[in-house]
Amino acid sequence: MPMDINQFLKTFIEESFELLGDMEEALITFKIESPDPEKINCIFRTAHSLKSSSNVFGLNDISGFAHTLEDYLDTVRTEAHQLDQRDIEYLLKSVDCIREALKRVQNNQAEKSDCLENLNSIFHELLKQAPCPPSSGIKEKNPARTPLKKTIKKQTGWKIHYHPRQDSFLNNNEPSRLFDVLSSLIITQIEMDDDDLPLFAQLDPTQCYLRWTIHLNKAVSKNQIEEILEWSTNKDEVDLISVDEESAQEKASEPAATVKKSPEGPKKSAIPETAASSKGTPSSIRVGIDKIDDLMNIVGELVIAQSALSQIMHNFDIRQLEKLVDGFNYLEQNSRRLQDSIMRIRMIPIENIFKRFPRAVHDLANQLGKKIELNVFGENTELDKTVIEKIADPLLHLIRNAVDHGIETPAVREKLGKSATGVIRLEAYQENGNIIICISDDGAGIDLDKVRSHAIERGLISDHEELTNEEIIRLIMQPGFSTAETVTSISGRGVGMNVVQKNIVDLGGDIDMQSEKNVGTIMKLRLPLTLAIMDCQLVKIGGQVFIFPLIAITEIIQIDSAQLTSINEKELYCLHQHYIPIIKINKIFNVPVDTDDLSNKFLIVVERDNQFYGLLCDETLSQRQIVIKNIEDNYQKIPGIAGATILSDDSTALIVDVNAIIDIDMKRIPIKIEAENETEVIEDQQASHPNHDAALLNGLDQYLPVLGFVINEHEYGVDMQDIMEICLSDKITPLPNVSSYIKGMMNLRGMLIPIIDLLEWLSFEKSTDQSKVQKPIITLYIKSKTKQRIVGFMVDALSDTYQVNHNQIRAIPASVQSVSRNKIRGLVHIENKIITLLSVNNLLLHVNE
Amino acid sequence: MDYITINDHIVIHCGTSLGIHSITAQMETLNKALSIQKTLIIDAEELSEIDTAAMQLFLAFKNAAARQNIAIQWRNPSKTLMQVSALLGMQEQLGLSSK
Repeated sequence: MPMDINQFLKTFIEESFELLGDMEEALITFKIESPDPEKINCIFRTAHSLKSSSNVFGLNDISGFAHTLEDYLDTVRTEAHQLDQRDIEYLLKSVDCIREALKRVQNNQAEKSDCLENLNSIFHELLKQAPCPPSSGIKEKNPARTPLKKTIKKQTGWKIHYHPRQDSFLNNNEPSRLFDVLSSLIITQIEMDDDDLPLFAQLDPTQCYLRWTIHLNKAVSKNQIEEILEWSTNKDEVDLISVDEESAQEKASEPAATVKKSPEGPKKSAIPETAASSKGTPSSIRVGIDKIDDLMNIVGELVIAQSALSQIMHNFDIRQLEKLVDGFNYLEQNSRRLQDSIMRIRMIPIENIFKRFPRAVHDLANQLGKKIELNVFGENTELDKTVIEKIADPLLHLIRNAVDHGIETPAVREKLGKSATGVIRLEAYQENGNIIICISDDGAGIDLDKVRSHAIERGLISDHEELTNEEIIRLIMQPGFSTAETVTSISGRGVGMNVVQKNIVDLGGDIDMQSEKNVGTIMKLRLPLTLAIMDCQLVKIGGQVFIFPLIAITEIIQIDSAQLTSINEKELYCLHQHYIPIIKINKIFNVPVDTDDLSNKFLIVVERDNQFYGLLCDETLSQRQIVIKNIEDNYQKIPGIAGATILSDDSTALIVDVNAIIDIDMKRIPIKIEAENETEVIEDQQASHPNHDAALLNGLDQYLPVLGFVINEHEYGVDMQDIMEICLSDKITPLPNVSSYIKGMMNLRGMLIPIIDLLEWLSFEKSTDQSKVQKPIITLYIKSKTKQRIVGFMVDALSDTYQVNHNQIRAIPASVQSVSRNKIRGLVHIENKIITLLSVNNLLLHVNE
Repeated sequence: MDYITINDHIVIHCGTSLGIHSITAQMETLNKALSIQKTLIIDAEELSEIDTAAMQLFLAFKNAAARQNIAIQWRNPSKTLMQVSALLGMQEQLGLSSK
């Protein structure tokens, strides 16, 4: 029987993780000496919900274990038993165990585990020892049992009138699904009504004509039923009615089919399908219906706007210009609303990851014999889902470091005159369009002398090198650096901080550390709010458009030359009675400008760490929202550039990384690109084609298809299998501080690709051709084991295609010195001419130069 | 689903799966079997998958046969058929209730 309950499994698992998070938090913060009834209820509720909902999905092991937990927790809820530390630890293990079981279900594996079985036995034993709760005897327990007691005298059960829509079969709303899931409760009767069923000859078998009335036992709570109804049916198909004693007796006298839940019921067979369907599915976000409604409304508005515009355009005359402008304004306004709404959907509270840390701290502190209090603030701060997913592990590492290396043991702390309990503070907030996550502790701090001597031992710095405290602290971000005396399972392998920093930087953020011996350490992570869309200010510097994130800008001023001054050749501007340094982006980016005279130019005023800076630009343009494009997809990070965007005229504009510009200006980071350590370049050209071996076996590989092209009157060729497409050069945006053969980035249908001047790449001769004529661009796929990039070669003209026999390819003569030999695959003699075959996979190396 | 005529009765083989995916074909088969006007034996031994659409079809088929005074018997109804008919409250109407 097709049971499409699978579609809900993913949501169920996500919700279960949330419930387990709540339970974990309640357990961690539970005070044995003064039990909080609300926390007990929260823990109980989790067990109860897990029991019911996992049963719906046939996850009998989880459901059974949750049932045992529920029974045990009921003794706590009814105050027959008080939770002690042993209980807390067992319950925390239960959280882990159920979480693991759910993860296995998610990965299409069996939920069953020794852990579940062992803990189940433990809780059964504890139950035997625990005094019976006053109300024990009812097997199905209800979290809201107390208020129900008042009405239970008259209420003897529940009745569900189920009238599926006629098109239910066709819409995959299998009616028996409801019965299947309801069979996890206590069904007393099912009545089928076939009054509407047509005669066989007139039956449309694809339509549903049946209705049912389902009677449920009084022990089943309304919540339980509603929970299932919500999962399994459409609201308009069911009516839930409470049945009183009298009516129940009437019903009992009517003939009806009686169904008892069969443990081998069909839902069991649904489980493997369930798990299979969730395999490999992308991660998801749960979105409130209000947000979806909002989107629907906006889409509706857009459709109206589009239709109005079409009508105007259809019969356009100049008198309708005003209407046309209004229409476009309306369209623009709604497009923006649509963007905002989509963005809001992607934003989720950081508490989703903050929730994990109390448990981690609790476990580690116990393991290390430390007393630690974790204070969490700003958990409602929202961040883009992608950012949230990527910072979870780095944050956990920092927290573990704080517990392991930061907070001292109670004895040490008391000796130092500190409280025996150490404090770790985890805080999130917004600042200047960034999200700041601050992890601070009142522990031992970083021992700068120790860090320095380790760095000298490892050859990271020389003995005589003078470093500031900040520079010494940053040494712990170096690969392989660790001052831990012993490598523990918690930390101290020296890979962590380096990886943490890399992850944060990859997200477009940075990490700042301050530490004082015996006082504590503060780690400040600065992260972008989102990775997708940004409000921006467009400016011109030397004729090139650059983009500043609006949120980073404090103000924009036109320079009044009377307010200019300079100290030690550094130009300053007097703004609101304070002198702010002027940073000349044109110099950093090496962009030629018409004049060095600053009068009437503009300063983009930004703030960092309470210091203001003025970033110089020639002209301010409009403000607009842009979609951020990653230039690293096909190229690599460029200091001072946060990304790029495609403007309305299809040209590319670079987004200025304000923080990096300040660092470059202060010489904290180098201006030149550091070459990536590309170790995975495929040296063997043939290995770049996955089908090569198969082709060779088939004898198809004897001939290599080659595209010939001309540069500087010489003919070259590339393997046609590497070519993605050929297009004409169009609006190439120069990139700052890159090798001269990288002409810039070009927009290839929304994708940014670096354009390479092949002549310069091959011979290091500067191209003299300054003509504005569009040239052919050959775009190529370049692959390594982990990367696939697309780059464009600019050539003078295309020549021909050839079938080159491998035997025809000759090695480049040793005497030829003018070209880099690893860029050339060989020479081919065809039709009385020599073609130089290029080795494009090595471009991956050179693109990163 | 298919059927064969054996002497004075017709045996309808349900196969392993009946449902909305082939409901029209199933209806045609049942209709043809019904038109032969012989005792109908439904062999559901191998049936391991059946949905409400197919159950509803059997119900209409059973009613039609009753109107034409044609007897219907189940042969070895599978566990799945018994469970699903019980779950949908149809055992009695389909003549599947255990005696």
